[in-house]
Amino acid sequence: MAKTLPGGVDAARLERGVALLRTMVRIRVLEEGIEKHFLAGDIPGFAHLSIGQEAVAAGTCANLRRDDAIASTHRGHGHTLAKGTPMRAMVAELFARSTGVCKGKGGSMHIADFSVGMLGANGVVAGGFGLVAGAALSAVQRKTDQVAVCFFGDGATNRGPFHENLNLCAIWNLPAIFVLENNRYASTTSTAETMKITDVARRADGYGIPATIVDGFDAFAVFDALADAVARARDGGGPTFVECKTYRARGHFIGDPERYRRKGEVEDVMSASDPIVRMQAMLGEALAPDDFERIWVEARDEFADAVAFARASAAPEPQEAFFGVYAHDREPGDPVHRIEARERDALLPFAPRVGSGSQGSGH
Amino acid sequence: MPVEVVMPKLGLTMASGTIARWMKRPGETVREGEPLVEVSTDKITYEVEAPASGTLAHTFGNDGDEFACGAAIATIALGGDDAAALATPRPVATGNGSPAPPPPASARRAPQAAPADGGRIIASPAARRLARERNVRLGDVRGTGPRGRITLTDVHGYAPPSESIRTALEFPAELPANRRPIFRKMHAVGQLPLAQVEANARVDAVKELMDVRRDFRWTAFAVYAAARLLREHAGLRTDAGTGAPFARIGIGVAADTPHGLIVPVVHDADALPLAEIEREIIRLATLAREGRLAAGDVAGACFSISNVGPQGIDRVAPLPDPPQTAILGIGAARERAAVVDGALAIAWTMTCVLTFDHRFIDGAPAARFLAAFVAACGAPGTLL
Amino acid sequence: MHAATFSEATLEAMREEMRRDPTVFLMGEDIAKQGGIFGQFKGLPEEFGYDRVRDTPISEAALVGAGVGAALTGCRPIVDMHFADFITCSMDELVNQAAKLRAMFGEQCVVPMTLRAPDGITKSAGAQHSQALESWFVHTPGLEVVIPADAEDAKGLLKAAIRSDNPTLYFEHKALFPVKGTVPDDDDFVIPIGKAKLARDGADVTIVTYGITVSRALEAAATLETEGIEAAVINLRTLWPLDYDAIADAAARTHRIVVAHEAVRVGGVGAEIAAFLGEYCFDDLDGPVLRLGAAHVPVPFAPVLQEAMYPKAPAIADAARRLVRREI
Repeated sequence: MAKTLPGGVDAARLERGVALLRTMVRIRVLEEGIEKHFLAGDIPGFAHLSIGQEAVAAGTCANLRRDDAIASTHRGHGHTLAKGTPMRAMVAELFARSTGVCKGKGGSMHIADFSVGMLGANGVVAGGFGLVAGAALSAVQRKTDQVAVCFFGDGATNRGPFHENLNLCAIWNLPAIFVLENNRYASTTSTAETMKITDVARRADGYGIPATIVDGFDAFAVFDALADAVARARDGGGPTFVECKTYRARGHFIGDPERYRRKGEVEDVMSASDPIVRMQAMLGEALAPDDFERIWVEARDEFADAVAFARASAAPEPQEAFFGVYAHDREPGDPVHRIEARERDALLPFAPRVGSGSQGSGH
Repeated sequence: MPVEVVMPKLGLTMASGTIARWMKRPGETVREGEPLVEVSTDKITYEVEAPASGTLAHTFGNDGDEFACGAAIATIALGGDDAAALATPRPVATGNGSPAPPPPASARRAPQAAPADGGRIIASPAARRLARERNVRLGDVRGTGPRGRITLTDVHGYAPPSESIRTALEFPAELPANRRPIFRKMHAVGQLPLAQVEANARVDAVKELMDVRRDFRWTAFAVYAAARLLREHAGLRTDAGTGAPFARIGIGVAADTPHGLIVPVVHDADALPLAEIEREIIRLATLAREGRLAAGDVAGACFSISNVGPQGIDRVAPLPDPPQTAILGIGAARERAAVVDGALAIAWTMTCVLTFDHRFIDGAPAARFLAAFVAACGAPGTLL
Repeated sequence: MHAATFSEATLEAMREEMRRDPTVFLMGEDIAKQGGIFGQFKGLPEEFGYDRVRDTPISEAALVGAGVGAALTGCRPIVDMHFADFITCSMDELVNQAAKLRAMFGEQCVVPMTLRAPDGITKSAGAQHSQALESWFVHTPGLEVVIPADAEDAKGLLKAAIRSDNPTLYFEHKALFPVKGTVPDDDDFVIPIGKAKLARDGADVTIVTYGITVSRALEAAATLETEGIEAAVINLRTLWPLDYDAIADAAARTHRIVVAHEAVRVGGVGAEIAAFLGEYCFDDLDGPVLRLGAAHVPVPFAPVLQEAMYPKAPAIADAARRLVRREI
């Protein structure tokens, strides 16, 4: 339901709103573009889209510094873009190019950008909890005021590391923030089937961690909740749990037949709650239609440029498969280097030939 | 029930015997009392007779293999036995249960291609490599490892070890590369049982001839004389590789060159006139100094001569150049004090040392050869 | 050099490294207040504070996961697993995260975490407290695996593991903790990762081994010496990266190899070594490569059963003897 803020929108609010909107639109354009290119065969592996959840990424990351850490899930494109990774580096990574942010070695499920504190999308559900607990612990050890944010879904809260790490962060009062994107589905199982409770935030109570529940379609609401959580963490107040009620507008992965939800459910939810439409409505007349349009055009141009960049980039050299695993393993004197070089020399003659300049992907 | 043929104990002190030659092959009919196999010890060779009539089912070991006395060396299938079924491979071993000692270094290679038990030769990888390096045929080696496996010690025991089992031959760091072959060869020669006989030959007559003809010198004479004597004294031209005399009489002549010691060969020296030998020696020495000898010029010798007379040295005891088994060293021929007809006199003498490989040549034949050479020096006309 | 037990040597290593580098910190169960069940952490919280030496709840997944996270973001954590068997409770964190992040992310990060893991058969601890799991992690690309055999190894390898920018598993046999040895005085003494040590020279046969089996192999070698057999003993020290050169040199020198370890023989590190010898050193071998390891059974509780199922000095000597005598 669209809502106009009473009393108009002040300049600071407008500026923040436009910034959040821009991030959400860029994420939407990126995700729709990835969907299209994945179906066209340009992207190997799996891809998990976060369409519908843009407000959580945008609202959270707007509160973070470059040197704050985030850990993400297998559905991490939005978090990565919102944290500050250039679209070119992201698209090149998904297209398996050597110019990708992970040199083509991670792909969608393991995309990471340590230059902006993005500790990686993770192919293991609940893989991020330990990393964030550790990053928060690291800040305490090094006596900085950095914070660490863990994005995760409802499914992750049923795994052991969720419980162990929340407990650890609570007892050690670590500057960790747990942002749950409760999109109602974990792969093909709905939350109704996999837990007795409706509000997952109640689980945080079990560990003594303060928790709030917000409308995950409302980027302002997310922003405000995270502002409090970040301030608490930086001030040494310990962890916070923020449950964002949101929705996954696409299947679990691209190609998911989505047998677990009623046809039309997506339509119903998105027509009522699309976070981009929401923000546009909240800004109301303060945002001119042309300006709104311009945000979309710029985002689309940015994406098209990113695709062109990816297409023009080279695939990684086959022998790259053998190095970059251990620190220093590219140095000839390193003991691992010699072993990997021997493995490469033993195996490479039998590797299938890759044509130069080819797309190198697709199935 | 098959009958075993065992290695006989032919004397009180005999502990083992060596298969010298199988006279019957598996599958052949044998009659009781018929000679089956020649067996040799270090003293005698003996024909072992078949103890029963039947079909020779299986022979163990190749020519040259050693067996302890009492060990089975063959089986004979009697009428009613299935000879074919009996001809299954058995590990080559002594019959008394403990691993056999490696065959003596004098075990000769037999010219057969496959081991008597047929099928694959079992050898450890290291043994195979060593055999390849030594040009040893695995089929000629008896394996004393488990299941008859040929192991390193077996290959080492077969050929004279040119390096200890424990350490590889290491060249000294500063040794020039071109000395490596001679280093390796001398290392091997050092293991051989070498002996010497020596004589001071009276060479007045050769000197007279030399002054008259002026178309030969000392080395050429030595080559000429030795070559002709080697026709009859065939044992002195034994080939250590085969154990039989070299067929052709090429004489190696040691030459000192800027590139080190080289031994070019005067081929068929027993057929060449003295003057031609002299010319050939000069030709080869020139080529040697210039480094222009061909492979054929340094191969094919059955005997060699080393002369240190040109350096004014009295005596040299050189080492044979395997697979040659003897070498003659001659020193400077000059006037020296001598006893002639019971009184002190001055005579032309030349010290001759014959070094020989005692595995193949005994003292007496060596002495006889040297004596004949000395006699030829005393009366060169008898040869010409 | 000065005398120290294995346990004391590890304590010295940690103390020196924590003094040298403020980003080194420790966490694990029962380490801070109790000082470790083998006393190997004694005195550290008093010197460095309970913030740098932390007792954790029994939460192996969080322990290792947080270790990885801290390593990713500028610290050098030492994580103690209590018993190596409990690594199984944190396999995702170790195998899917620690081992792979650098590779997956295109070298954007390092994971300089050290995992101390007391392991091995001792005192009827039973199947769940007696395992030697090193081959699992040799088989996992991205991890380093080191395994000390004595006090000197204990100190030098632990310092190397802490300084290493790779995630390093440090397997320490529980029975070695009280064993006396000597360590160098130099507080910069580090044993390079990836290099084996020739513990004993010999020309007839080489025993390739690591960890507690090194002392058993040396005992076997002493017995063999009285029989005229000279056995060399190689202490691998690092299992990954494996010192293949040392193994190849041994084959070239002695031509006969016995590989021995306490871990299960089937699929153990010895199998990788034997396969390597067969593939790359084939022509050097004068006999088969023999492997000794524990039986393929969970470690039993009753002492007589426990002692029957893993190789000790007499078995090692027997294998070497039969190989040299060409009975095998």
